[in-house]
Amino acid sequence: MDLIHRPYGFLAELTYRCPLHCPYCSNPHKWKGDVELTSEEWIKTIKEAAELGVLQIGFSGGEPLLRKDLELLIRSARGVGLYTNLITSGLGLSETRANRLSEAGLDNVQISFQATESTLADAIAGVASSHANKLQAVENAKQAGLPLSLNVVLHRFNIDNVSGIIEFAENLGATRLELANTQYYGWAYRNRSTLMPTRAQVDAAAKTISKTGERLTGKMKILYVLPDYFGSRPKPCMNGWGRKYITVNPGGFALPCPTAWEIPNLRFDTVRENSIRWIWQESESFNRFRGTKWMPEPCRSCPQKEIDFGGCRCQAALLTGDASNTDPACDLSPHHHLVQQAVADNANDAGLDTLVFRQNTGPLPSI
Amino acid sequence: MHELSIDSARASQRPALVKHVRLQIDPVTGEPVLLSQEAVLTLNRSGYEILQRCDGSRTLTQLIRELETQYQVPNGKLVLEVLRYVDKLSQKGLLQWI
Repeated sequence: MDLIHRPYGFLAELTYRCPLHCPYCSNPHKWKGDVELTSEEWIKTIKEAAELGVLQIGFSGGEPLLRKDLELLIRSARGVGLYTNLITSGLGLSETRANRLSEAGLDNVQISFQATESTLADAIAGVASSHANKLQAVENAKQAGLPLSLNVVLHRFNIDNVSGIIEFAENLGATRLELANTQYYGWAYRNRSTLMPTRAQVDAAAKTISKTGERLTGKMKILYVLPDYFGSRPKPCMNGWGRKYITVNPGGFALPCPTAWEIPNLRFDTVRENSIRWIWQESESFNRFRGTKWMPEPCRSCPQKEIDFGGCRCQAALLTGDASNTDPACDLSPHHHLVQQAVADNANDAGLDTLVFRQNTGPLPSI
Repeated sequence: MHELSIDSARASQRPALVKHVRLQIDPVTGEPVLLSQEAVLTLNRSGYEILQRCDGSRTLTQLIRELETQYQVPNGKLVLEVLRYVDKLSQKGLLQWI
């Protein structure tokens, strides 16, 4: 077995319930809404993760603000020395809630935006007034003294406005902006041909971002998540399977990456029945694609194998039916034509009305 | 080479870590780390000594003099090293000037 690394980052997906219906949501299609971990189970898991070497925790979902014990969990994470980040839609981030989160020791809040103006933003989120609610959430976070970062998922309907998005984030006082090209898993895979931008759109956006990034050095950091369908080499997904990150989903299943749940024929272990340490070091799922020994050709003899780790297992499974194949985003993959075909087939004239919106799982509380 | 005076415009400004970063010791390695939104920056000893003092309470000049006293080195000897370090951190958006 290859050297076992320690996890640095821990993504706690507290719930898959969400007030939004984004058509690119990475949550699983099918999820039973009634099996969420309890507060005690999360606290135990957070403590174990810190003991294993985790330094940072992201509270995510779904919408993590739907969990009434969020403040308690943040406090417990801070108690064991973790850096805490809240990854939220902003819906439900009232003034009171923002103050409570700040008092609990939250280090940073990341709010997602769908666009810079409400017509497109609300249409993508599938909820009226969501954009206005998010703007209010930003104000509430700032009032409470919480550092703010923004996340915007890019697709054919908003990518032409990247310079507008950057200006928008700057004006809201964000210290970091994540511009994430849609990754085609989960709901996004179902909407791939409608969401996928053209190559000309992707190239223009990349140029704008690199130009603006220089101007903003020291003020706002821009993280640009590359569109791997348009590249020649795959992304170093999660910096390698079971190498730096661990995700625990609402049911307590520990995953090497948030979308790994949808890989067929891979069994995951839960933190209800096992320690995080055992799962990280011993479990079959975390060892399955760890290191380089599992790799087939062309990865096995590739000089880049320690750089991109063969790309994304979820994408290999989704597109080729076998998670151990080379990521088809790599132009050395025998399946690369699947990605090229998808780029060629994108439905450039399809409107928003052709999107399949994310359905909610489990009961939706009022917020 | 290193016996520069602090004529930088920064000399009388007070460096402070920005709000979203936290300086702490990595319990696994015992090494100092700087934690920010999604990054972990491993620090060497001198970086840690500098950043520990970037709390907005002292000017850059005071900070440098303090380090020179602590390490018993001549005045001006650490100027270049500290200036470079704080500039690098400012560029990354991890340090602000107040």
